[in-house]
Amino acid sequence: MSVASVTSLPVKNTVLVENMSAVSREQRSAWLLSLPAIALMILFLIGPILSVIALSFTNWQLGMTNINWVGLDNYREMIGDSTFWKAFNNTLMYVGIVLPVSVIGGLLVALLVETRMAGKALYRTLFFLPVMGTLIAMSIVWEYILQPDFGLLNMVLSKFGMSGENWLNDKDTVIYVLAGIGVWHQLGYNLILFTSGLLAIPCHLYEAADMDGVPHGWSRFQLITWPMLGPITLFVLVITSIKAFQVFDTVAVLTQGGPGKSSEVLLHLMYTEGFEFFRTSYAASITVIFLFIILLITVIKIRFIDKRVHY
Amino acid sequence: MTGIKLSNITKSFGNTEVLKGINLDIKEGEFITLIGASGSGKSTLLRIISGLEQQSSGSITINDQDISTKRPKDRDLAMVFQSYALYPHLSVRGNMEVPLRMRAPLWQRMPMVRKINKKAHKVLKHIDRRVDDVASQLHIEHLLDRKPSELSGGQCQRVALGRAMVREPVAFLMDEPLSNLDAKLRVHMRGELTQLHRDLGTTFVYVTHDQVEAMTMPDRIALLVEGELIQVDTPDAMYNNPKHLKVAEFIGSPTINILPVTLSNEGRIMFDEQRLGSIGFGRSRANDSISIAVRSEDLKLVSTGTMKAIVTHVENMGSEKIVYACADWAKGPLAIKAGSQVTADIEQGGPIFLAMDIAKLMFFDHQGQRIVQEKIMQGVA
Ligand SMILES: Nc1ncnc2c1ncn2[C@@H]1O[C@H](COP(=O)(O)OP(=O)(O)OP(=O)(O)O)[C@@H](O)[C@H]1O
Ligand SMILES: [Mg+2]
Repeated sequence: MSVASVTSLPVKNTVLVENMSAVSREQRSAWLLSLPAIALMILFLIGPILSVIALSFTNWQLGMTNINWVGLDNYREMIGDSTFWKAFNNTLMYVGIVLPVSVIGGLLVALLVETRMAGKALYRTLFFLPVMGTLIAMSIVWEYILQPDFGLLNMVLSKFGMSGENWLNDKDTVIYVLAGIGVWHQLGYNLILFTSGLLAIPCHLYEAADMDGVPHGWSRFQLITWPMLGPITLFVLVITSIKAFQVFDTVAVLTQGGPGKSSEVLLHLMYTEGFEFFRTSYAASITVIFLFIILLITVIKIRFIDKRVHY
Repeated sequence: MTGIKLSNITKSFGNTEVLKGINLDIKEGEFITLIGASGSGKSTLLRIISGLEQQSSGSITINDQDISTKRPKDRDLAMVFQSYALYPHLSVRGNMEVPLRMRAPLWQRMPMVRKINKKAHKVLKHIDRRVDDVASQLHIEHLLDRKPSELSGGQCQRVALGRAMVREPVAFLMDEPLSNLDAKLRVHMRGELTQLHRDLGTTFVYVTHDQVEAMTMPDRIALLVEGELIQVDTPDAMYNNPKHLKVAEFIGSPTINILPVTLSNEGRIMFDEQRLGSIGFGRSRANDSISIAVRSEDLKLVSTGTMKAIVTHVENMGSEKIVYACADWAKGPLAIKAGSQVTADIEQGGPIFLAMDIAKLMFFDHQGQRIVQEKIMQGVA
């Protein structure tokens, strides 16, 4: 039957076969071309993530030869670990300060700089400098500034008759000081992003607003600037929150999580557990939690906000 | 005087003088087009009227009120931009509301106030009704809830017009509003705009570099050349009675034929040692270089004669043909408009003979000024 139909429709059939082989050939070359990228992604991204997730269910320690499956033990330990919760809360606190202050601050400074006639480039450069310096090097500078006896900050304060604190050694101030440095570092970056967003707003919109009698100031910001900045604001929010969750350099250089555990943060805790105490599997489970938070931010961005800010 | 009056407007950007003393009276209810080559300063002039740009010197009055230094929103004008300039995140209704809403005090515009406060409710209700009216006038009622990104170019143009109309301004300023539309829609919108002007009776100041728009739509045309107004006149007068060579060159398609000639020492027009007809200018213009301008439809094809030319190419426009030719005596190319029958046997490279009606010729001196007809002495022997 099938043979009969093949012989009765020879022309159409060859065309079909040719089409199919063309499609499959195209597919094959598509896979071939993306193979290097896929291989690299598996090797450096997906592979490590999967192995970290796997490790978090074992009791393996760096250098040990035996490895046992322990199920959720690491996670159970984590839930009962006050240091983990301390680090978790500190990280949230840190993000809770750095995110709004550096985003709103960056936007305000960008607006101020852009409305100025002269010196735009100078201001942009000044605010962008902290971004260009590596945070490790900058942390050392901050250490000198915050040093209690001969640090710049306390010297200036004493000139005004105030006695400064031992900023980095006080468990009440340390996380705020770190957040301050975080804001200082991130603000310039956000400023540049917002500036590019502001420059991309077509000026004829403002001219139309002029003709339509839209008052300067708030009304104009609300009508044009803010909605037009929507997409870039979303990007800034996501980048800033991910960067803030990743706080590590300043903690490692300035406080090592101290005093007590009052400046311990997730990434630093993971580092100490993994590379100082060699509790690799426990560090892996912290990493999994960390990755989960980052994933959550991304999903929120894609799912809920992307649709609203684009027009 | 009612209407818009521009006195001695100049504008410089740095060292370049873009507008050099513009004087223009725009009557109330008039449709005037500003036309000129690219870079001649049309947009700049329009923006100065609107207040988006500040003139370097000179004054503007609207209905005898000096508005030279007023801000755009206090001039009571509306502008339609070439790029439409719609607010992309607002619906069509939202866009059209802006000029009315934004003139209400801030507290009335707050969300929810409408539900609480009677006065705010009344104001906003009035705005709603006005937007509905204008939308139905422009046939865009069904688009009111769409975003600009969901509209076609022509629909965007209508919305931009609607936004300008809701407030009933003293005048509409339009900067090449149709140039982003395709040819067919442009023709359609041209008619609609003219109709709209007739319905509204409001002043239209319309910038364009499109000849057809400039000729077909307005009451008057103002031709801007390198920052100077060369002539302001009705389309008819601009075409038939240009005061300057540049006007003659700019208006009309194909471009008017220009024949440069040198007068004899008796002031007669000489073509290659041959006298043209019986007209001359007298001895005051002896040996002057002048230009004769003649429209393509005023050149006639004849079977034989002294004005011989060689056809370079022929454009078939359907009902008529435009024959392009060159001749030594013309010192350049010529365009002749003729009916299809007359031109049936004309082919590229072939010779043709021309004749022109002396009454239809226009003469311009070497500075481009029209030599007024009375000064031409008829019948100099
Ligand atoms: N903001 C500005 N700064 C400097 N020069 C300007 C500015 N705006 C316009 N010009 C100059 O002024 C001249 C006139 O510009 P304008 O935009 O008025 O021309 P236009 O007649 O509208 O031309 P087009 O038909 O191309 O729109 C141009 O030479 C332009 O380069
Ligand atoms: Mg222009």
